[in-house]
Amino acid sequence: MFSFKNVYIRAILVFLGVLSVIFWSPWLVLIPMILLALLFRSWEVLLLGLAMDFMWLSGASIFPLPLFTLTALILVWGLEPFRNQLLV
Amino acid sequence: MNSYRHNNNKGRGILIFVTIIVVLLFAIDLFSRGSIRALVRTGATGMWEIGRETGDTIFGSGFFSSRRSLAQKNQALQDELSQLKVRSAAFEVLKTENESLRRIVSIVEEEDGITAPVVSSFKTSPYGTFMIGAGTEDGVQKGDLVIAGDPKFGGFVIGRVDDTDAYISLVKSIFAPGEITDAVVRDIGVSLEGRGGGQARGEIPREALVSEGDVIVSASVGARAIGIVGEVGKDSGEASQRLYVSLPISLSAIKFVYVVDK
Repeated sequence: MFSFKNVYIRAILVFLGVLSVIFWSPWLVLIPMILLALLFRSWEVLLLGLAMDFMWLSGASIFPLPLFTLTALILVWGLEPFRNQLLV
Repeated sequence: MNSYRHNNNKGRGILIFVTIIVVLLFAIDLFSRGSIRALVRTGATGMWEIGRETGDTIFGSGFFSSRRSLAQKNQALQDELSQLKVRSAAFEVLKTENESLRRIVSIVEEEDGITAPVVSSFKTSPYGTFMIGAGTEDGVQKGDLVIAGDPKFGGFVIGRVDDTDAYISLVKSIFAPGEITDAVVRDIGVSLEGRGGGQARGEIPREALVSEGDVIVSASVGARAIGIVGEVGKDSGEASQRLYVSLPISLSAIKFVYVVDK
Protein backbone atom coordinates (compact mmCIF):
# COMPACT_ATOMS: atom_id res chain seq x y z
CA MET A 1 0.00 0.00 0.00
CA PHE A 2 1.32 3.48 -0.92
CA SER A 3 2.23 5.80 1.93
CA PHE A 4 4.67 8.68 2.23
CA LYS A 5 6.14 7.05 5.31
CA ASN A 6 7.09 4.00 3.26
CA VAL A 7 8.56 6.18 0.53
CA TYR A 8 10.70 8.04 3.10
CA ILE A 9 11.91 4.82 4.70
CA ARG A 10 12.73 3.33 1.34
CA ALA A 11 14.56 6.49 0.17
CA ILE A 12 16.58 6.68 3.39
CA LEU A 13 17.58 3.02 3.14
CA VAL A 14 18.65 3.48 -0.49
CA PHE A 15 20.61 6.62 0.46
CA LEU A 16 22.37 4.74 3.28
CA GLY A 17 23.09 1.91 0.87
CA VAL A 18 24.70 4.26 -1.66
CA LEU A 19 26.81 5.89 1.06
CA SER A 20 27.88 2.47 2.30
CA VAL A 21 28.94 1.36 -1.19
CA ILE A 22 31.30 4.33 -1.47
CA PHE A 23 32.39 5.22 2.05
CA TRP A 24 31.73 2.53 4.63
CA SER A 25 32.32 -1.09 5.42
CA PRO A 26 30.89 -3.72 3.00
CA TRP A 27 28.91 -5.27 5.84
CA LEU A 28 27.03 -1.99 6.27
CA VAL A 29 25.85 -2.27 2.63
CA LEU A 30 24.17 -5.54 3.46
CA ILE A 31 21.99 -4.00 6.19
CA PRO A 32 20.04 -1.61 3.91
CA MET A 33 19.97 -4.30 1.23
CA ILE A 34 18.39 -6.84 3.58
CA LEU A 35 15.96 -4.30 5.08
CA LEU A 36 14.90 -3.07 1.64
CA ALA A 37 14.41 -6.63 0.42
CA LEU A 38 12.38 -7.53 3.49
CA LEU A 39 10.17 -4.46 3.62
CA PHE A 40 9.62 -3.67 -0.05
CA ARG A 41 9.66 -5.26 -3.46
CA SER A 42 12.78 -3.21 -4.00
CA TRP A 43 14.59 -3.16 -7.32
CA GLU A 44 17.15 -0.78 -5.76
CA VAL A 45 18.69 -3.78 -3.98
CA LEU A 46 19.80 -5.16 -7.34
CA LEU A 47 21.43 -1.87 -8.31
CA LEU A 48 23.21 -1.58 -4.96
CA GLY A 49 24.65 -5.08 -5.39
CA LEU A 50 25.68 -4.36 -8.96
CA ALA A 51 27.28 -1.03 -8.00
CA MET A 52 29.25 -2.75 -5.24
CA ASP A 53 30.69 -5.32 -7.66
CA PHE A 54 31.31 -2.85 -10.48
CA MET A 55 33.21 -0.60 -8.10
CA TRP A 56 35.32 -3.02 -6.14
CA LEU A 57 35.59 -6.22 -8.13
CA SER A 58 38.48 -6.37 -10.52
CA GLY A 59 38.27 -7.62 -14.08
CA ALA A 60 35.33 -7.78 -16.39
CA SER A 61 34.72 -11.51 -16.14
CA ILE A 62 32.48 -14.01 -14.41
CA PHE A 63 35.30 -14.95 -12.03
CA PRO A 64 35.85 -13.91 -9.33
CA LEU A 65 32.16 -14.25 -8.62
CA PRO A 66 30.21 -11.01 -8.21
CA LEU A 67 29.11 -11.87 -4.69
CA PHE A 68 27.04 -8.76 -3.99
CA THR A 69 25.07 -9.01 -7.24
CA LEU A 70 24.35 -12.65 -6.51
CA THR A 71 23.39 -11.78 -2.92
CA ALA A 72 21.06 -9.08 -4.24
CA LEU A 73 19.40 -11.54 -6.63
CA ILE A 74 18.95 -14.05 -3.82
CA LEU A 75 17.54 -11.38 -1.51
CA VAL A 76 15.14 -10.00 -4.09
CA TRP A 77 13.88 -13.27 -5.55
CA GLY A 78 14.54 -15.62 -2.64
CA LEU A 79 12.52 -13.47 -0.28
CA GLU A 80 9.67 -13.03 -2.74
CA PRO A 81 7.38 -15.70 -1.19
CA PHE A 82 8.07 -14.38 2.31
CA ARG A 83 7.53 -10.80 1.20
CA ASN A 84 4.26 -11.79 -0.46
CA GLN A 85 3.07 -12.97 2.94
CA LEU A 86 4.17 -9.71 4.57
CA LEU A 87 2.76 -7.44 1.89
CA VAL A 88 -0.62 -9.17 1.87
CA MET B 1 -8.49 -6.48 -3.97
CA ASN B 2 -8.23 -5.85 -7.71
CA SER B 3 -6.24 -2.69 -7.00
CA TYR B 4 -3.89 -4.67 -4.77
CA ARG B 5 -3.41 -7.34 -7.44
CA HIS B 6 -2.73 -4.61 -9.99
CA ASN B 7 -0.03 -3.03 -7.74
CA ASN B 8 1.37 -6.44 -6.87
CA ASN B 9 1.75 -7.37 -10.53
CA LYS B 10 3.20 -3.95 -11.33
CA GLY B 11 5.82 -4.27 -8.56
CA ARG B 12 6.73 -7.73 -9.72
CA GLY B 13 6.95 -6.52 -13.31
CA ILE B 14 9.38 -3.72 -12.33
CA LEU B 15 11.46 -6.25 -10.42
CA ILE B 16 11.66 -8.56 -13.44
CA PHE B 17 12.52 -5.60 -15.68
CA VAL B 18 15.36 -4.39 -13.41
CA THR B 19 16.67 -7.94 -13.06
CA ILE B 20 16.90 -8.18 -16.85
CA ILE B 21 18.62 -4.75 -16.95
CA VAL B 22 21.15 -5.89 -14.33
CA VAL B 23 21.96 -9.04 -16.30
CA LEU B 24 22.24 -6.98 -19.51
CA LEU B 25 24.53 -4.43 -17.84
CA PHE B 26 26.73 -7.25 -16.63
CA ALA B 27 26.87 -8.77 -20.11
CA ILE B 28 27.61 -5.43 -21.80
CA ASP B 29 30.35 -4.74 -19.26
CA LEU B 30 31.78 -8.19 -19.89
CA PHE B 31 31.94 -7.77 -23.64
CA SER B 32 33.09 -4.14 -23.56
CA ARG B 33 35.98 -5.02 -21.21
CA GLY B 34 34.70 -3.09 -18.24
CA SER B 35 33.40 0.11 -19.83
CA ILE B 36 30.47 0.33 -17.41
CA ARG B 37 32.72 -0.37 -14.43
CA ALA B 38 34.91 2.54 -15.54
CA LEU B 39 31.91 4.88 -15.54
CA VAL B 40 30.74 3.69 -12.11
CA ARG B 41 34.23 4.06 -10.66
CA THR B 42 34.69 7.54 -12.11
CA GLY B 43 31.40 8.67 -10.59
CA ALA B 44 32.11 7.02 -7.27
CA THR B 45 35.62 8.44 -6.90
CA GLY B 46 34.17 11.89 -7.65
CA MET B 47 31.64 11.39 -4.86
CA TRP B 48 34.37 10.09 -2.55
CA GLU B 49 36.48 13.21 -3.18
CA ILE B 50 33.48 15.48 -2.52
CA GLY B 51 32.62 13.50 0.62
CA ARG B 52 36.17 13.72 1.92
CA GLU B 53 36.43 17.45 1.23
CA THR B 54 33.03 18.04 2.84
CA GLY B 55 34.11 16.06 5.89
CA ASP B 56 37.36 18.01 6.12
CA THR B 57 35.46 21.30 5.84
CA ILE B 58 32.88 20.38 8.48
CA PHE B 59 35.39 18.99 10.95
CA GLY B 60 37.91 21.71 10.21
CA SER B 61 35.40 24.51 10.78
CA GLY B 62 35.75 24.40 14.55
CA PHE B 63 32.17 23.28 15.13
CA PHE B 64 33.43 20.10 16.73
CA SER B 65 36.55 21.84 18.05
CA SER B 66 37.19 19.96 21.31
CA ARG B 67 36.53 16.55 19.83
CA ARG B 68 38.23 17.60 16.64
CA SER B 69 41.40 18.77 18.39
CA LEU B 70 41.63 15.49 20.28
CA ALA B 71 41.08 13.53 17.10
CA GLN B 72 43.75 15.63 15.34
CA LYS B 73 46.26 15.04 18.11
CA ASN B 74 45.45 11.37 18.06
CA GLN B 75 45.82 11.24 14.29
CA ALA B 76 49.08 13.20 14.38
CA LEU B 77 50.49 10.82 16.98
CA GLN B 78 49.34 7.81 14.97
CA ASP B 79 50.93 9.25 11.83
CA GLU B 80 54.15 9.93 13.71
CA LEU B 81 54.12 6.42 15.12
CA SER B 82 53.52 4.98 11.66
CA GLN B 83 56.39 7.01 10.24
CA LEU B 84 58.70 5.91 13.04
CA LYS B 85 57.70 2.31 12.44
CA VAL B 86 58.41 2.69 8.75
CA ARG B 87 61.83 4.19 9.50
CA SER B 88 62.58 1.53 12.06
CA ALA B 89 61.57 -1.18 9.61
CA ALA B 90 63.62 0.47 6.87
CA PHE B 91 66.71 0.47 9.09
CA GLU B 92 66.01 -3.14 9.96
CA VAL B 93 66.00 -3.86 6.25
CA LEU B 94 69.34 -2.07 5.95
CA LYS B 95 70.82 -4.11 8.75
CA THR B 96 69.51 -7.57 7.95
CA GLU B 97 69.08 -7.55 4.20
CA ASN B 98 72.10 -5.53 3.26
CA GLU B 99 72.84 -7.21 -0.01
CA SER B 100 69.29 -7.46 -1.21
CA LEU B 101 68.61 -3.87 -0.14
CA ARG B 102 71.48 -2.62 -2.24
CA ARG B 103 69.87 -4.41 -5.12
CA ILE B 104 66.41 -3.05 -4.23
CA VAL B 105 67.68 0.53 -3.93
CA SER B 106 69.48 0.31 -7.22
CA ILE B 107 66.36 -1.13 -8.84
CA VAL B 108 64.18 1.62 -7.37
CA GLU B 109 66.62 4.34 -8.39
CA GLU B 110 66.81 3.00 -11.89
CA GLU B 111 63.17 2.23 -12.54
CA ASP B 112 60.54 4.76 -13.46
CA GLY B 113 57.46 5.13 -11.38
CA ILE B 114 54.70 7.60 -10.78
CA THR B 115 53.06 9.01 -7.70
CA ALA B 116 49.30 8.54 -7.58
CA PRO B 117 46.67 9.72 -5.11
CA VAL B 118 44.49 7.20 -3.30
CA VAL B 119 40.92 7.99 -4.39
CA SER B 120 38.88 5.57 -2.35
CA SER B 121 38.54 4.16 1.09
CA PHE B 122 40.69 1.17 2.03
CA LYS B 123 38.00 -0.42 4.16
CA THR B 124 34.97 -0.33 1.87
CA SER B 125 35.86 -3.07 -0.58
CA PRO B 126 34.82 -6.63 0.33
CA TYR B 127 37.43 -7.89 -2.15
CA GLY B 128 40.49 -6.19 -0.62
CA THR B 129 40.76 -3.61 -3.38
CA PHE B 130 41.14 0.16 -3.48
CA MET B 131 41.43 2.79 -6.19
CA ILE B 132 44.21 5.13 -7.22
CA GLY B 133 43.94 8.21 -9.39
CA ALA B 134 46.19 7.07 -12.22
CA GLY B 135 45.43 4.86 -15.18
CA THR B 136 46.52 3.79 -18.61
CA GLU B 137 46.86 7.42 -19.69
CA ASP B 138 49.56 7.78 -17.02
CA GLY B 139 51.33 4.60 -18.08
CA VAL B 140 49.88 2.37 -15.36
CA GLN B 141 49.48 -1.25 -16.44
CA LYS B 142 47.89 -4.32 -14.97
CA GLY B 143 50.33 -6.02 -12.61
CA ASP B 144 52.26 -2.88 -11.64
CA LEU B 145 53.34 -2.71 -8.03
CA VAL B 146 51.89 -0.14 -5.64
CA ILE B 147 54.26 1.02 -2.92
CA ALA B 148 53.54 3.02 0.23
CA GLY B 149 56.22 4.95 2.05
CA ASP B 150 59.36 6.36 0.55
CA PRO B 151 60.52 4.02 -2.23
CA LYS B 152 64.09 5.27 -1.80
CA PHE B 153 64.14 3.51 1.56
CA GLY B 154 62.51 0.42 0.13
CA GLY B 155 58.92 1.33 0.96
CA PHE B 156 56.34 -1.38 1.41
CA VAL B 157 54.48 -3.00 -1.43
CA ILE B 158 50.80 -2.78 -0.48
CA GLY B 159 49.23 -4.05 -3.66
CA ARG B 160 49.24 -4.81 -7.32
CA VAL B 161 47.28 -3.04 -10.07
CA ASP B 162 44.47 -5.39 -10.99
CA ASP B 163 42.33 -3.37 -13.35
CA THR B 164 43.03 -0.18 -15.26
CA ASP B 165 40.81 2.48 -16.73
CA ALA B 166 42.00 5.66 -18.43
CA TYR B 167 42.50 7.68 -15.25
CA ILE B 168 41.63 5.30 -12.42
CA SER B 169 43.12 1.94 -11.48
CA LEU B 170 41.85 -0.71 -9.14
CA VAL B 171 44.55 -2.11 -6.87
CA LYS B 172 44.32 -5.47 -5.13
CA SER B 173 45.99 -5.47 -1.73
CA ILE B 174 48.83 -7.90 -1.15
CA PHE B 175 47.02 -8.87 2.04
CA ALA B 176 43.51 -9.03 0.55
CA PRO B 177 41.33 -11.64 2.30
CA GLY B 178 42.34 -15.14 1.20
CA GLU B 179 45.26 -13.94 -0.93
CA ILE B 180 48.30 -16.20 -0.58
CA THR B 181 51.78 -14.66 -0.83
CA ASP B 182 55.06 -16.52 -0.56
CA ALA B 183 57.50 -14.50 1.52
CA VAL B 184 60.72 -14.69 3.49
CA VAL B 185 61.48 -13.57 7.02
CA ARG B 186 65.02 -13.98 8.34
CA ASP B 187 65.77 -16.45 5.54
CA ILE B 188 62.77 -18.58 6.51
CA GLY B 189 60.17 -19.16 3.84
CA VAL B 190 56.59 -18.52 4.86
CA SER B 191 53.30 -18.67 3.04
CA LEU B 192 51.15 -15.74 4.16
CA GLU B 193 47.39 -15.70 3.94
CA GLY B 194 45.89 -12.23 3.69
CA ARG B 195 43.31 -11.23 6.30
CA GLY B 196 42.40 -7.81 4.90
CA GLY B 197 43.13 -4.42 6.46
CA GLY B 198 46.86 -4.75 5.77
CA GLN B 199 47.21 -7.89 7.86
CA ALA B 200 48.21 -11.47 7.11
CA ARG B 201 48.89 -14.71 8.91
CA GLY B 202 51.34 -17.55 8.34
CA GLU B 203 53.09 -20.43 10.01
CA ILE B 204 56.79 -21.00 10.49
CA PRO B 205 58.71 -23.85 12.16
CA ARG B 206 58.63 -23.78 15.95
CA GLU B 207 62.39 -23.49 16.29
CA ALA B 208 62.64 -20.49 13.94
CA LEU B 209 63.91 -17.35 15.61
CA VAL B 210 61.66 -14.54 14.53
CA SER B 211 60.79 -11.50 16.55
CA GLU B 212 58.37 -8.60 16.35
CA GLY B 213 59.42 -5.92 13.89
CA ASP B 214 61.29 -8.27 11.55
CA VAL B 215 60.79 -7.30 7.94
CA ILE B 216 58.95 -9.65 5.58
CA VAL B 217 60.21 -9.66 2.00
CA SER B 218 58.64 -11.35 -1.01
CA ALA B 219 60.32 -12.43 -4.21
CA SER B 220 56.99 -12.19 -6.02
CA VAL B 221 57.18 -8.40 -5.75
CA GLY B 222 60.86 -8.05 -6.70
CA ALA B 223 62.32 -8.84 -3.27
CA ARG B 224 60.67 -5.82 -1.75
CA ALA B 225 59.31 -5.51 1.76
CA ILE B 226 55.61 -6.29 2.17
CA GLY B 227 55.16 -6.02 5.93
CA ILE B 228 56.63 -6.55 9.36
CA VAL B 229 56.08 -9.20 12.01
CA GLY B 230 53.44 -7.87 14.37
CA GLU B 231 53.24 -10.83 16.71
CA VAL B 232 54.53 -14.37 17.04
CA GLY B 233 52.15 -16.86 18.60
CA LYS B 234 53.39 -20.13 20.02
CA ASP B 235 51.14 -22.81 21.49
CA SER B 236 52.60 -25.66 23.50
CA GLY B 237 52.36 -28.96 21.65
CA GLU B 238 52.27 -27.45 18.19
CA ALA B 239 55.07 -28.04 15.70
CA SER B 240 54.79 -24.56 14.28
CA GLN B 241 54.35 -21.03 15.47
CA ARG B 242 51.91 -18.53 14.08
CA LEU B 243 53.15 -15.38 12.50
CA TYR B 244 50.92 -12.31 12.47
CA VAL B 245 52.06 -9.84 9.86
CA SER B 246 50.96 -6.26 9.43
CA LEU B 247 51.90 -3.16 7.57
CA PRO B 248 53.81 -0.62 9.65
CA ILE B 249 51.74 2.10 8.01
CA SER B 250 48.19 2.98 8.94
CA LEU B 251 46.24 2.41 5.72
CA SER B 252 43.89 5.30 6.44
CA ALA B 253 46.90 7.63 6.65
CA ILE B 254 48.05 6.81 3.13
CA LYS B 255 47.14 9.62 0.76
CA PHE B 256 49.61 8.93 -2.04
CA VAL B 257 51.27 5.79 -3.36
CA TYR B 258 54.10 5.08 -5.74
CA VAL B 259 53.40 2.90 -8.76
CA VAL B 260 56.30 1.05 -10.38
CA ASP B 261 56.56 -1.47 -13.20
CA LYS B 262 55.98 -5.09 -12.30
